[in-house]
Amino acid sequence: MAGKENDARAEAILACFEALYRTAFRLSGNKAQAQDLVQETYLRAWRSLSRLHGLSGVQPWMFRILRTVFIDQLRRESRRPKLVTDIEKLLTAPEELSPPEVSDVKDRRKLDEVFDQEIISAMTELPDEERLALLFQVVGGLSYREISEALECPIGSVMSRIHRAKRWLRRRLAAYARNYGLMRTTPREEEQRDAEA
Amino acid sequence: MPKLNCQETQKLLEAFHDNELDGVTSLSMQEHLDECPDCRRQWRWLCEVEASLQRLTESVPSPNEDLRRRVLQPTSGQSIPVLALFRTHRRLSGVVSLALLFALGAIVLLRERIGADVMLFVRDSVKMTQDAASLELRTSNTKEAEQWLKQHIGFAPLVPNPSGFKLVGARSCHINNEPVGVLLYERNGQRLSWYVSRASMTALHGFDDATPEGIRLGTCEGWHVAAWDAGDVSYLLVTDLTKGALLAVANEVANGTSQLLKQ
Repeated sequence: MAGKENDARAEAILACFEALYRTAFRLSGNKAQAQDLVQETYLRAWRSLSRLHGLSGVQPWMFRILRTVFIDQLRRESRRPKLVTDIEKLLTAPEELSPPEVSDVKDRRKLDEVFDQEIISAMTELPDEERLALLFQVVGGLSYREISEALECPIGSVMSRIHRAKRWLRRRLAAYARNYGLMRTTPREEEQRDAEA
Repeated sequence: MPKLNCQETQKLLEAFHDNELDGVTSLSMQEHLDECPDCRRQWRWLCEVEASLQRLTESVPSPNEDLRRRVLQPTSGQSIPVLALFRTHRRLSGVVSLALLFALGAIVLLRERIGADVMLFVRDSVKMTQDAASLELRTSNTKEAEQWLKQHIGFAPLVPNPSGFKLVGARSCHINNEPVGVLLYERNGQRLSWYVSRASMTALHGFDDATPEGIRLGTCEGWHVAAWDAGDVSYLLVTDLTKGALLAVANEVANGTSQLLKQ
């Protein structure tokens, strides 16, 4: 009986592979590190398999381990020496990224590719907890409830982290919007509008 | 149907995009967006960013084939999740089973040996932690300790600074012919030894299963011990704190959160 339960849990853990790898890739930004993150995540998951109860929480559990492994990796490499938790500092004056040099803005695919790269680059500047919440949602496909379990914080915090992260990205890339006629206001004006609201 | 102004509309744009608004509010939003070019621009911009975020899943390169194989290999002697492999390679299942049986036998024997060595090492560690006279360097300066460790164990680990503890000094020893760096801390008369090595120190018999963070807890000679691996480095804490307090310290040291926040 216990063997069957373990097999079911093992299958559930293996089913997370694709989502974990995609998320790890977007977190680390390169394939080799993403593979290391996923391998270490599974290593720890197999070690702790007997502590996993039920199958419903498998995905948040795996993402929680991924988060721990990712933070461990940051600490070891000291590439990003601070764990920023206060996004408000960043929100007060986000410096805009310049629009790309795309000669033909009608080339939609090319524009998308350049813009996607800028989004990816801008995301690396987000505080870790905001970035994790956003990536767990858009890349990992987790629900708010599952993200709250993975990040061990209330659902309300998850929602506000994701909201703040997206708002910050929109402001960071606002110059693109104005360049292509998608927005006329400046981030400062938008900020004032938010304050008034 | 209530009319929405620009401020109200722009505040609700994200919820509108995520289909989280009720029917009436959604209709009001749609009506306002149809009429207001400024809000419509904001809406299109939000959709552009959301579309880009959705594309993040599409352009991820495939992992190497052997990654799947590697993550299928559990390290403990519990259940082996080979079901997925067996389903696709049924003919090979018999051969693979035999090979796994031999491999498991070898691993168990090896783990027994390594486990015995580690437990002997932990017993010595407890004695050393009780005896501060064994220190080779007396310092409360973490930078100095870091330099000293680098010279004695061949690499420079990130020296922890656990809350409330004061660094007393450092020493070195060996396990399985691999150098081990040791730092001794004190807090209100209680002691904490931190061990770091490239040799694994987590093969501990009779210890708890690992926490989700990979930390194993146990007791030796009445002292509490925590061990975990991070990459190719292994860590061990030995202390006369309670088990709960040790776990808190181990989590703090393993996550390095306090240290990162201080920097």
